[in-house]
Amino acid sequence: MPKIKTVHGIENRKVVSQKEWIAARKKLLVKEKKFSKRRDEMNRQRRKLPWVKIEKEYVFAGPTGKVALGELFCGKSQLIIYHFMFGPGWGEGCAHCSFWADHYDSVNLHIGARDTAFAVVSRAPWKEIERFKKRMGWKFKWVSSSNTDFNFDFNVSFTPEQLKRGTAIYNYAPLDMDIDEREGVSAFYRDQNGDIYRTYSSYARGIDLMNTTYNFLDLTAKGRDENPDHTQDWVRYHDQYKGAANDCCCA
Amino acid sequence: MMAFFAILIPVLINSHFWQTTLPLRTHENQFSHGVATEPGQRQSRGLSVPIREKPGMSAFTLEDGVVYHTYSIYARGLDGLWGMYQWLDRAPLGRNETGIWWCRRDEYGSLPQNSGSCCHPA
Repeated sequence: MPKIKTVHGIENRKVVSQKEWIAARKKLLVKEKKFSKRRDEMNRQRRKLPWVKIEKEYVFAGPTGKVALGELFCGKSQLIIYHFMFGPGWGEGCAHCSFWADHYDSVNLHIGARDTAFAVVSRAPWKEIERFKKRMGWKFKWVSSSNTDFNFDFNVSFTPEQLKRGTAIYNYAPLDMDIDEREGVSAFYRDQNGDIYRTYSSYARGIDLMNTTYNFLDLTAKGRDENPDHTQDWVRYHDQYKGAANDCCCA
Repeated sequence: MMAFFAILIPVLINSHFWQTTLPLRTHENQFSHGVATEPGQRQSRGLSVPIREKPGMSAFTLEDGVVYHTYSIYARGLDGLWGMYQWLDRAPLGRNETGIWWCRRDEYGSLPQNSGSCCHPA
């Protein structure tokens, strides 16, 4: 019986014949298909949420200067924004948001063909973002909301008063808060008149499915294999992993 | 989904046992079956060309020098691995699909993509 080392200690796995394995796998497949149908239904309900019209004029800062929210649509009707934790003076963006962001350039290859634009927004000044973006080698659109209320209005940045109180609204509920930025994703629709609507926002574990690495790891015998008390204590900026390269044995 | 595997397979074969116990042939045309009948021609799936390849994903573990096959999933079970879909599911129109819309990334032609497009150079 093979023993595998996980964060929970040494675990055993039963080894069976191909016939027995297929039988067990088919049993799980029934549950997996049920989960897929439930997810389809969840997606359908998400699309039926009411919308909120954006009344403020948000103007971000980017490499070409000022960029209005409407311009981030790049002529498309839908826009998805990732709220990247990168506050003024941080020097570098959040390592965990960076883990997510390492997937974004591949998302961008196809999502434009579905009438959907994609952008990342942080509260750090553009110059700080630019420096970090260059270091990470990312190409996706990333703008600074430093001169706007955008991050506060979307409950992903918190005021000194909120931090002093130690509580703020995040993920639609009051939460103990000791950091000035949190992560999230928001979706928008722009109609033919140029009016923009917020259609959706998700925070915290709600962005879990958007991390493709996790979706792969979930299919392995060990799964994510994370410390339950500090789930992402293994995550590093991609230029800081040591000995984790996957290019060992063949091309 | 087929196009997705053009990306996925090089990841899966990154191990010796794939090449010894599970021969995987990745010649260029395997992603074209059922999609095109001539070079450059694109048709809807499921027509005259028989499909001899289908997508899947398998997981293995190596313990004490022994390779174990731990998991395999096929067809829609792969849905979660296509990162872009997870984002589109949050957009107001969702996937909004009526058929095959995706191409290999160098085949979108004049469709403007997000990277470095209109308002915000990369």
